[in-house]
Amino acid sequence: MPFTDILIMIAETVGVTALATLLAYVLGLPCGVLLNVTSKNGLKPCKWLNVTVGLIVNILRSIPCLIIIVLCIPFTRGIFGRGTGEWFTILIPLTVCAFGFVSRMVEQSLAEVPAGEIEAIKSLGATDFQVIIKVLLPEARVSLVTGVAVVAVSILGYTSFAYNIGAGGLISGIYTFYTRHTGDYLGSLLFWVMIVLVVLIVQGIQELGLFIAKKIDKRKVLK
Amino acid sequence: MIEIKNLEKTYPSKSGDVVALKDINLTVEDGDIYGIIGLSGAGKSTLVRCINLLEKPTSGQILIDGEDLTKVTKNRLLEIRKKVSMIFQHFNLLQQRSVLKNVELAGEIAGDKNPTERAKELLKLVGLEDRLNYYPSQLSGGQQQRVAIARALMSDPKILLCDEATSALDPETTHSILELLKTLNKKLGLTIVIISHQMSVIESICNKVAIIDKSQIVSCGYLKDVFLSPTNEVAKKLIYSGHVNTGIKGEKFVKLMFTGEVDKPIVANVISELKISVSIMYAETKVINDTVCGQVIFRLPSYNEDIKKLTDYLTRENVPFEEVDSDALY
Repeated sequence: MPFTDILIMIAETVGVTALATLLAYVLGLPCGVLLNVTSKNGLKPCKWLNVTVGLIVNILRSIPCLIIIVLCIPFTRGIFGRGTGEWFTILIPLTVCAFGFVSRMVEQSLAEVPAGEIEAIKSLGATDFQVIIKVLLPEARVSLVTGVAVVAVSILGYTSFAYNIGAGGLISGIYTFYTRHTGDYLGSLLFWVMIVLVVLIVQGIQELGLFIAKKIDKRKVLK
Repeated sequence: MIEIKNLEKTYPSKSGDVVALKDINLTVEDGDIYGIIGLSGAGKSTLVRCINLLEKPTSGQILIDGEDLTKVTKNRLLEIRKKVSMIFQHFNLLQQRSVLKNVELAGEIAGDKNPTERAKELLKLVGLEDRLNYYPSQLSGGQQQRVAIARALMSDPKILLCDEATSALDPETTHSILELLKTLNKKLGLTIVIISHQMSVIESICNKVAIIDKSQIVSCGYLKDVFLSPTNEVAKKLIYSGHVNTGIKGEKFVKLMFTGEVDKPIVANVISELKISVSIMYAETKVINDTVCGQVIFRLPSYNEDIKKLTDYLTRENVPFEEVDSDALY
């Protein structure tokens, strides 16, 4: 397996993980805000809406990723012209898989914002929208950023299923390597190198998340 | 002017409704510094949070300059809240914003497109002009409360509600925050409602006071009057608490009240002229609204013989007095 092949696999994995994380947040962030705002102690409690959205999120989260991938094939085909066989064919299912998870993560992060801060801003005459934009999201930013790292690592894990629809990437590359060298894969340096690469990517995502979170957290700065 | 009429607040719970406020009637005039004092759980915090409708009253009216807050639209309520600001026990600053940005935010909410100048001005007013780019976590409690006060002033309010605003601060810092509030009251004509469980806080700043106990207002009026003649158990507890503990049961004492108009050595005269060797059970002098207010509680050696002599003298000298039951002193 040539060196460039590995580079391509890394690019596919990192690229599709980044894109899926982004898309999952484009959908999941508003959904998480909605779940938080409509909850019992939220800005605008609304039981039926909270229960309905919560139910959809829970159902999505209960379907195993591999099944979602299969269910998404016709949909992906409709958008990209093909349902399997290219790196981008796993993008939509990854997004759908992560969406529910992201919604709950965001909901949880926002719930950590002290009620007193929200109340103080309300007492200034702020609208609910202003409270969300000026208080909830910025005050929860540290927790949101660490959440992104957790989500990205899970999505990277889900890219394993790319093997099943021929969508490439490093992890399915490792598995393909195994299927071709079932007898001596454990003795192959390349096999181990690829595994180390996966570990490095995961560590990189986590460290980057922590680094940014630390950088933007003003709660514990001391001059 | 704030008028609270027949205010009630109950919280529903599984074991029936919990009454937090009952039959509250209170009028705060423009320019007042109105103290609301009570023991923990009396309902004072709920009361102040009803004034800007952070808590929705179960029934009754909250009128601000004649406008009933319980009947206005949501948008109108948000407008009114800009004129009725609030500060809190735990300051509630946004932790991820600098001091300046915290104050600016209040301006943005009030519709100010360029709040920076005014924010800087107000931070100067509260004495924090050199802390603009600090974050709340880098400030002491007193400094944080000053930022919160600057934030509360951004919308140019007429009323400032203080919910236990000094309870998390040490005595010295408390004093400086109260001085600041007093200055704002004089300088800006700000009407202040201040909730506290400490009589010392109320005494040092308020002109009027309401005592709240078990969800109800048990006495209210000018601080001087409430301080000199506490009429009910809670008022007595709040005023005498920790100062008087005679251990004497079933006796009558006499309490003398001074309000700045007496400049004779009354106590000395009672002893030297009337030849009554009184014991002083309690004595306190306070400056309330720039008037010296004092009270002395006497124990008479033989009450029945001396009381007539004493009361005649006090009446002649124009010193208000009343009999107190020794059991009623804590």
